[in-house]
Amino acid sequence: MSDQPADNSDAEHIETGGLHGAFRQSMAWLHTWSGIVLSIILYFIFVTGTAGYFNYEIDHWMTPEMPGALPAASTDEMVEMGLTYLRRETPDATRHFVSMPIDRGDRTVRVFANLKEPNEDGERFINTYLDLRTGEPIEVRDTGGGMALYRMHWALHYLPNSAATYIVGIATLFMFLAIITGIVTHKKIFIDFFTLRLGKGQRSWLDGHNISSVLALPFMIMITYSGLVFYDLEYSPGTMFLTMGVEQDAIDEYYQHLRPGLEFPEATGKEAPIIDPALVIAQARTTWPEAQIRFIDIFNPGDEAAMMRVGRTTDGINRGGSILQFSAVTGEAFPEPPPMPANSVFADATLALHEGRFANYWLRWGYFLSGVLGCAMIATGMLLWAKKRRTRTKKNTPAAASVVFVERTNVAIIVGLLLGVAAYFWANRLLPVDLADRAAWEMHCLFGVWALSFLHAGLREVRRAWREQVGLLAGLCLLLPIVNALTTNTHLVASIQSGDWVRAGFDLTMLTFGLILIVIWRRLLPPEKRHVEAPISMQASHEAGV
Amino acid sequence: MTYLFGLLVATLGMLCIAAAQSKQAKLLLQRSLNESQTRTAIWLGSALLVSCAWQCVAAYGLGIGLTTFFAHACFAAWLVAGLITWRRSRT
Repeated sequence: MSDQPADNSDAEHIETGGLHGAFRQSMAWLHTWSGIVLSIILYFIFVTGTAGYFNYEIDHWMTPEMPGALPAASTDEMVEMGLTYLRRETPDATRHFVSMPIDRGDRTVRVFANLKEPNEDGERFINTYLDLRTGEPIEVRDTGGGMALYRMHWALHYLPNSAATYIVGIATLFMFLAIITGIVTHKKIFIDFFTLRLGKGQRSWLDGHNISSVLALPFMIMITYSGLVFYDLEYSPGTMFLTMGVEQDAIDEYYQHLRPGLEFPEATGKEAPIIDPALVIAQARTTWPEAQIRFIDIFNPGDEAAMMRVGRTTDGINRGGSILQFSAVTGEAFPEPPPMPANSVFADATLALHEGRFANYWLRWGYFLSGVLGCAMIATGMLLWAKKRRTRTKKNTPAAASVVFVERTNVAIIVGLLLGVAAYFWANRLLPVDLADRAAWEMHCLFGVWALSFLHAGLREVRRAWREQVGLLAGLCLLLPIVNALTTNTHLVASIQSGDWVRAGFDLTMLTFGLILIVIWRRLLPPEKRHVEAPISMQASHEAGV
Repeated sequence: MTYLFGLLVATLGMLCIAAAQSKQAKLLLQRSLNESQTRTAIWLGSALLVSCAWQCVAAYGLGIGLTTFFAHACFAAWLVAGLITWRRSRT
């Protein structure tokens, strides 16, 4: 450890030793390359995952047909409404599921049924939303909503699930490595804790990279580690295979050991009416006096062996104990499943921390802002990589092709993806409501615009590409509430008047993003084009190419 | 209200920790603290952060409480870093 440079240029100067240099040099090298190699995937995961913390709210905005305010109805009334609809429409279903609205943009009762035989559309299930005022389905536009964005952060898009799982897993592993090596590399981690020096070229980017990662370090470690825990058995199947063998029965037994109590009784074929769900809910309430009932799930309805599961909203990081199981015929409670093993409890708590489902709006915004810091950390790392190599290029000598390539792709990755997401929201409002495969087309718009941003960055001079893409993004964000007002009845003023703060909050957030982007766009302008004279430090930084 | 109070306590804690560092103290207070003042600032800052953590855990339980505390601490650190950056731009 004695061979450290005196200055905290840290990683920027000591990374050249490769893996065979001194310890911290090796770590710096590893930090740089483990971070940069899969940075595009990591940035994609962070952007879509961060948006996912508001997936229900985005869902609500993207389905303007949904009512703005939640009509008053008791849990019992909503369950009755849902089951009445399901019994009428799917009397032969093998499963009836009714989900109550929660307070994050949900305004309808969601009903779901597994069908015995495929229906005329070839589907084996129905999934629809009931208007609480009428008990009838609400026709909503076909949209991926916030859930599609959220889902992409682990399932990506246009890829089979298994491939996406492994790609995301490898990227997450690289990220974890980059975080650990980053801590080792950053020797003045406490001295530089609050340091952000603006207008100092490469130094500013390094400060930005450090501060965005160090100040949210607990979040970064938690989110990366827990991301790996999600697919622990897929990423290290040896644990399971070596313990239990590779036969399917053995694997099932292993899963049963990890999650005891999830076995469902087989249907007997003998008919029996189900008990009034209100009685079961009343029993559940004695166990959870303060919890909100989230769903009712009936397996084999109408059968003697029918089972009813009652779920509550998650109010803690321990997800266990949030479901009770009853006989749907007698109402008798099934015995409590045996407690989960310690590793499952730990995994559950870790996953709950990752998802943040328990978080109220204060904490949810904390999650969101931490996610934004994660995006900033990855983005500044990518910029720093290119900046350092550009700085090393001698004057009057063209930069290496790799540097030029990364500079251009940085624009398209960092701003282009955000342009794609903005285009996704625009597509939700502008695509014809009756368009076939509309949700898929929304996604095509996202990736199409992202692809165009690569083309644009490749054709334009880098600084211009930054300005133009940031300017376009600002415009898309600022105009989105106007497009919303022109294409729906749920414009900002109407949302505020009706007390629909979820929808209004989305519009206001877009306006805020737009205004922030305008400030950034102005900073990207050459000094002579700004209306207000920039501080000397900013001019110097611009001349230095920052 | 609990959130705002927790954030306030965490921000004061982070301010004390920042003031214990000479280069940050010069920006925040226009002078460095002497040795005993520095020690006091570190202890006071740590105590405030611990009390914020205790308050969060008492209000929300261990899991959510610690998560809330880290959110407070992170946001507070950003506020202090923003204040220092602003002070630097003015000097």
